[in-house]
Amino acid sequence: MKMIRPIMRKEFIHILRDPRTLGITLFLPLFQLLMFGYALSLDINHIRTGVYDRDRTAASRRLVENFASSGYFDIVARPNKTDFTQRLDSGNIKVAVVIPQGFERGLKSDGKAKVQVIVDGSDPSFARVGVGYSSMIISRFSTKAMAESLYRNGIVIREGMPPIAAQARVWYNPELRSVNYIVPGLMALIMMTVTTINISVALVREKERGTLENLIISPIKSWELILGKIIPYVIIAFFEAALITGVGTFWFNVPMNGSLLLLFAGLVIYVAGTLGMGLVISAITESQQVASFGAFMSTFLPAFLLSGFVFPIKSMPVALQLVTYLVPARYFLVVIRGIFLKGVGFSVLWPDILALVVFATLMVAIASIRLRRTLA
Amino acid sequence: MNKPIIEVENLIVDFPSVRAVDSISFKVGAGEIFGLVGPDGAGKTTTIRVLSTILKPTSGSVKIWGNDIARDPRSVRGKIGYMSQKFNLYGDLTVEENLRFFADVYGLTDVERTRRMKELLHFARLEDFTGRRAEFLSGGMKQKLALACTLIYEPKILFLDEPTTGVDPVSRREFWAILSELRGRGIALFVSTPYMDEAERCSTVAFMDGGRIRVCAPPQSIKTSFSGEIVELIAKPQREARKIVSSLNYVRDVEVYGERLQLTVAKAAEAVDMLKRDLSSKVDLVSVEVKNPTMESAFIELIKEGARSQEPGARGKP
Repeated sequence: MKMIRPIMRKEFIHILRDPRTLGITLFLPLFQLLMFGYALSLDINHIRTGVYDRDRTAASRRLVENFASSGYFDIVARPNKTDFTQRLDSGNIKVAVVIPQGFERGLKSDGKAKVQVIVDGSDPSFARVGVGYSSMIISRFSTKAMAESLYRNGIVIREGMPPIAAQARVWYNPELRSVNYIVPGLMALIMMTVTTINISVALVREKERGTLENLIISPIKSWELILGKIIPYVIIAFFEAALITGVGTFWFNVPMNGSLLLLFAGLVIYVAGTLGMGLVISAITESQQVASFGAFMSTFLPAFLLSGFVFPIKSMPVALQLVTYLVPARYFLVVIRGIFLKGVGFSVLWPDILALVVFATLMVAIASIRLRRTLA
Repeated sequence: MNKPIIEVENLIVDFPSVRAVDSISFKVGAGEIFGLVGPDGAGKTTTIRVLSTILKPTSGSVKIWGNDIARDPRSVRGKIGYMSQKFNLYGDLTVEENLRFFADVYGLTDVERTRRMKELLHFARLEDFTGRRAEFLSGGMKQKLALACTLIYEPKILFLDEPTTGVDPVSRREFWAILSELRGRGIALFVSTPYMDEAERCSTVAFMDGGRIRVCAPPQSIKTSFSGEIVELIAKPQREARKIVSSLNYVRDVEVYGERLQLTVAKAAEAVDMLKRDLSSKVDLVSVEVKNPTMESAFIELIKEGARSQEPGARGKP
């Protein structure tokens, strides 16, 4: 047991003196946290919009006002006929609203007023949101205009118009802030890369440099060696989990509705699995390059693409959906988002926790079989 | 030989494409400097790795202090030291941190560690470099640090795999002075080397080639086993001289060493006169001298005999 300490001390020296490990363990997570927290915002608002108002009447101005006050559209230009196409081409504006001559007249007389909305479709998700918001604004405007027109003809519409009022409420993330969704998800990603890449490289480095031979012929037992090598990374992983939780809740105002204890327990199981995976990779590879590449490919990419971190699993092709069942981050994401946003407990999350337990057990078992062969 | 501490019998080590060690047997007594000599790819490194419990043998028995190390490697671990051919300490740790790590892994107490570190730093003449990272040491200093690290837990047998390969001649001599001192302290040394001058410093030498031990004896008896005598000849043009001596029936073998030709003959004194007679009219004879046979000449003779008696087989470096 006392042999673990010298290994740990040595491992910390390696971490502190190796710029690559230090980068992966400390700076990469912070960088990811800030980058995803700020840059990867899935919320779309303040769309740069140009208005070409050919009508120049009170009604047309009111419509433009409705666009501007919605918060989704920023009227940044008043282009004329010729240059609004050019502005769309250059990306200067993403949406162009064209109000033709006779808009007000049409509205008041025959009710055949038209408005053209041109949306830049080169970014589909952006265009979808632009079309959705503008249709909503225009239909509201037209409902109001219809009521006014009926009123002029002597029909008064009482309160309660329109007849069906949808009262949609969003639970768990009422403001639909994507940072609430991203930051807990990031925990799954960061924990996995930090532990798996580091532990696999740390063991393979000893193989590559021949230093493992010295340890094999020493009286140290193989489990002492493994524990001594793992513990520093476990400490770092939990330090990082605390950092993400702290920065997430205090800086990005992500709600933490669930139990910290359950979060901790979930992390322990998840990290056991990711470390086991790192050990398996270290047992089957011989060079640091191969190990770090293998670890990156088998952790970061699936955790990023196939876990539901950004891309919803339900909208993937069925074959790919089946693959996601093999990605441990998928289960951990359900657990961690459940705890952070929904505040639910074990009674709801147990199927995913069970999946993580199975993954961890499997990895640790394979690792101990493979390493016994290497470290005999 | 006093009671042997290492006994190897019919040791075989197979790698996927090659038999690296082919049924070797030998014994090492306490307090010996046992030298394993031979060309690259002879199987020296593989043998040392088996003896130091890093590699499992394919078959055969290896006993150290009577323990079967293939079955129970832990019985000798902690009492044997191994220094690999390749530098295998932690380059990013300082001299002091490396020593400390070894001391801790072998379970030394703080008092022991402090005392031995001081002693070994002095012994390896590394006192002025304690804070330097191992990767920034010179080749000779790296080897001395590696030796110091294996000595910190005072092993009873030390396995050294080509410890002086790639080290400058001055450091080499210094390193061997240290080894002699260790032998004086009762540590058995098992050294592999490609250098003949180093082989001569050993108490017993095993000559290994193609996975087999061709001869295993003290250096003196290996030299006397040499069947002929040596004449050294310098003549110009050398090519012409070589051609002539190769055809002479009293010259058994010719080796070229730079401008010198080394001839193996039955009676050196007679050969000198005959050579002068046979060559002086044809080439420009600079010198003809009788030389003492060296380990090298004995080994070369052994290799050539081996090559003649044995069919050529595919052998590679393990």
